Amino acid sequence: MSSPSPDDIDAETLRRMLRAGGLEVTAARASAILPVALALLKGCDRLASLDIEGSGGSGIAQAPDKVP
Amino acid sequence: MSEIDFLSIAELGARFRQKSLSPVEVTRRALARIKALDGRLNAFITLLEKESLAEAAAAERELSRGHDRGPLHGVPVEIKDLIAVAGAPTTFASRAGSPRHPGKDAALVKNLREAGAVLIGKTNLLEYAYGAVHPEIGQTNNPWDPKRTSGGSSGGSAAGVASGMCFAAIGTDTGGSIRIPAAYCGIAGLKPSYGLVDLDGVQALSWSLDHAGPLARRVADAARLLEGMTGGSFPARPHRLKGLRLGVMAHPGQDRFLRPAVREHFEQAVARLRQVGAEIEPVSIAGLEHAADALLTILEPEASVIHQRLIAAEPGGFGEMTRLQIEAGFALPATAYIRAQQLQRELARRYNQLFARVDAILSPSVPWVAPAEDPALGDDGGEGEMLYSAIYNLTGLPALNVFAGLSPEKLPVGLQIVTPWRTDDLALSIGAALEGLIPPVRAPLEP
Repeated sequence: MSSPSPDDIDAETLRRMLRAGGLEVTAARASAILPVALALLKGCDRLASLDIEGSGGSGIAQAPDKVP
Repeated sequence: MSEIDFLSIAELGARFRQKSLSPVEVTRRALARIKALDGRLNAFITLLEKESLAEAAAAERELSRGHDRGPLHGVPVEIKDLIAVAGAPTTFASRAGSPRHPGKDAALVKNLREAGAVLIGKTNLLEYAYGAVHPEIGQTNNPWDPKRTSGGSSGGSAAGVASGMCFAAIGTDTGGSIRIPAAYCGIAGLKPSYGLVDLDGVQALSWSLDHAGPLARRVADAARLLEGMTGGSFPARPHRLKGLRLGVMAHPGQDRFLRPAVREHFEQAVARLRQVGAEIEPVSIAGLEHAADALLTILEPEASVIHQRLIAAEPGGFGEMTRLQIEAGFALPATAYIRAQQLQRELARRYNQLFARVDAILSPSVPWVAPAEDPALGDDGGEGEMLYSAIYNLTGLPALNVFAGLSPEKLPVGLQIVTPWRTDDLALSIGAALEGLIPPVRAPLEP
């Protein structure tokens, strides 16, 4: 199952997403979190649209001069 | 205005060794200045009065016996209050999980003690270094205009140094939190290369992006502090500017955010560098416009995992803005986190290629001067504030803020110098040379 588009996320959907991530919140709290979460998820969508050449996902820049 | 309170670390050290000034006298002066000024600034959370006087007395005894620990011996230094100092509370500028009473020093604090530094106090910050002021603790005000912020998240560290309450400070930087307050307060601030400073005992915000580094009124002082933190050697001798290849980075979004006064001072600084023989060329990096998205997509879920237990146990102890950020981070998908890491690696690769053509990269540090309050992380103002800084947390490159002039309203403008990974001394050396062209100016606040 792919992640829902930010445009399709309401407070109840967000509550379930937060639970999947490890955080239990009430419906009212999910409503309060929704604007902050949507802003972040839109950023995730923008990243998803990129064709990134990099191989592998271990991005920690411990030795940027050694990055291939 | 006291000249002593604004001496450089080298000048202070020379006077200690000539016995025309003593560590105890200087520490007493610093404590008195903090008491006189900090009601207006709110830079300190915990003052280590007895401890610092005892450390200063010990330094004085050692120096008089000929036991010289080096440039920091007897010099008062501030520590951001998310770094463990044994015997002192750590509050994180929060009511959640606070205070903690660490039983041992952070690694960098241990190194500073061995170098003879006097730890004078723990400084205010954005809550857990996470982009928002805790409302019960309040922001640190700016020594240039106390109606404005000193910046975040290492604002207490920057304000303390800029106002002459201390000689140097330790801050941390996950998206610009050393360089932004350094720029707002008109001082030098270095985000070192990723991995250079041991973060054991430093409260994490994001393992992939966290750095600790020095803030000081002069680049040479920042270099002495970096030496004390790491045990390394960073001479920071002013670099020869003639023939130095400097790239002026084009930042997407700059036209939306960059204020005229900052643009003007930055362009004037670049013109001065060209006049003395530096070779200037415009440079760009493809994909830079996605740096803020990548930074937040890495930072937010890491911060949520770091604070997972605390947000469940004491959610009301966090300020609302910090709490919302921590909670929202649990919703980010792992695929997005991985994509952000891929972009991080790709951007690092592109910077490495660019450094074949230029020795260093220049930009403003922040697109504006100190505002009344810190903009919220994740909104438009937050994106603008981190426009020039966040990319270097992603790439791990050393990035130094230096003073570039005063705006028409007499507020400092900052310029950022970036060099290849693990060439921190090159960044400091170029900064020291630029200080020769544009000397820093003292903040006007007095008791």
